[in-house]
Amino acid sequence: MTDPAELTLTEIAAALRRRTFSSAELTRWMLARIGRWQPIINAFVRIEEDEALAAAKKADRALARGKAKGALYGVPLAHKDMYYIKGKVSECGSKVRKGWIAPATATVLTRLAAAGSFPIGALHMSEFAYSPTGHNSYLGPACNAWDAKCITGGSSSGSATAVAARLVPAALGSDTGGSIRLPAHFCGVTGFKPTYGRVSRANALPLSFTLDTVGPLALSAEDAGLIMGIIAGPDPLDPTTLGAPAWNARAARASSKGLRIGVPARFYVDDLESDIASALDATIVVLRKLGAKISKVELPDQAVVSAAALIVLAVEATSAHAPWLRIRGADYGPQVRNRLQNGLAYSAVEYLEALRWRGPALAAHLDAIGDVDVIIAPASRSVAPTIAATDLGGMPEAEAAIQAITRFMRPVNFLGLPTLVVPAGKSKSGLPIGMQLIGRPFGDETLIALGRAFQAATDHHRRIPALP
Amino acid sequence: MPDDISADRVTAIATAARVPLAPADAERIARAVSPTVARFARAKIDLSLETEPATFVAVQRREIGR
Repeated sequence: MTDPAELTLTEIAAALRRRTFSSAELTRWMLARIGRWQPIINAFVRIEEDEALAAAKKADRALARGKAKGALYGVPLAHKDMYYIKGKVSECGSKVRKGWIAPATATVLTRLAAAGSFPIGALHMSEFAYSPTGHNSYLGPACNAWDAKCITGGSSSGSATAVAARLVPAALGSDTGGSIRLPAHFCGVTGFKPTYGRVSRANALPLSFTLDTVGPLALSAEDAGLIMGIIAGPDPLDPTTLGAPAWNARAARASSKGLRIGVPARFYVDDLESDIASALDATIVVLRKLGAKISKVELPDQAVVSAAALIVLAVEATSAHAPWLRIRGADYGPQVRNRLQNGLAYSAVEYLEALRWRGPALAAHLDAIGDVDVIIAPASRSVAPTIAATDLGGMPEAEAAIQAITRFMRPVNFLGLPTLVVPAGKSKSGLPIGMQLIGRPFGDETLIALGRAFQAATDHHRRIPALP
Repeated sequence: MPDDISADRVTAIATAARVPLAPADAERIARAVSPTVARFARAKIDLSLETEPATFVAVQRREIGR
């Protein structure tokens, strides 16, 4: 059997259609690999072996009869444990929702199922998607597949480390303040945060309704585009998606020659660790060779944009959790409880001023970048820190540490921009480095096309961590 | 608006929201969020009377089909 660990989602789906291997063979292979890695990285919160094998055998029968339909037919996937399936448990990384049975199915899961995929389990996440590290006082931390002493990043912790370890070829995450992009950077996978309003969030755990987005963590930009082609598009259950354009698969395969790429003059390039700075320079060299036109851009003050994002996120998250905070505060982990309580500090006027400023802030951003198509920026000023160094729990310094980790993340959420993170190198210690390619509103397909071109010219995304 | 958040203010908002809060938590929260509030206040953002949250959607959607 071809080693599925070497294959991307696109390649696995094609191999199933060609019947290079069967869905049952693939599922058994994945279950065995999960069995070896799970004790080391704690990526899964549930493994659904019997259901997955039954679904795989059913898929094989349909494939044999030529009845298979859908781009992901027979592909087992797993997602962050915040996408609801009617009648099944979804604990959202929390004690508060221990044993909670979802009353409806997330639109994105319905669409992935219609494309022929089925679940093999559910993945670890930060408690209620409200931590950027991957620590979880209820579940224990997820660990980085490249070095289990290091954090995965969060909140899509299990999605990133499971894809990195090739336990699943792709997984859904969510991004409210960096929760797809930061784990993609720390774990060396491709992560895509779509334009706000491009993908339905219906029947997925909310954190901040103004900022929440749903997107994939995958092995390549091509795979991320494949998933986006399935999950993007209007959904009456999520009014933010109404009026957004349908996914344009052709644009996601277009040439990137002549694209105008901006390099921020400050903020994203300040105080970078040397390995990150080197990776940024090397990425720019590759993009230039691909025919991109590189220029410096002066962005509006990103620290103010970031502050506005923090205000909106804090108040909306606290509002969502207020009913539980009133009666079940002790059931939260200390760090998440503290962060939720932080939202109590802002006045209604401060919150609404930040929210009303979102449109003018986006207009100022677009004015500043002019005709630039994509901005390149590091995802973080450092590679993944250790679990021990970031295990601050409810300590007073935790909030400042969280804000430092997410420094390069929040402006994108506030402005609702699409962003692709591509693996772009490794540190001297062997840890992955990812770069953000930040697009214009609804420029999602341009980013996928650029990511595909970049990954055709590099092999960072093909590196596979070894089982310790 | 003041650039610094006081524990008293945090306690007052928490009380209005009917969320129980220990005095020590109010102090911690005030210290944690003050830098954010100060940073946003210092920007002295001037919003027109007509600007509302949905203005964002109007700006965003101008980019469709660009």
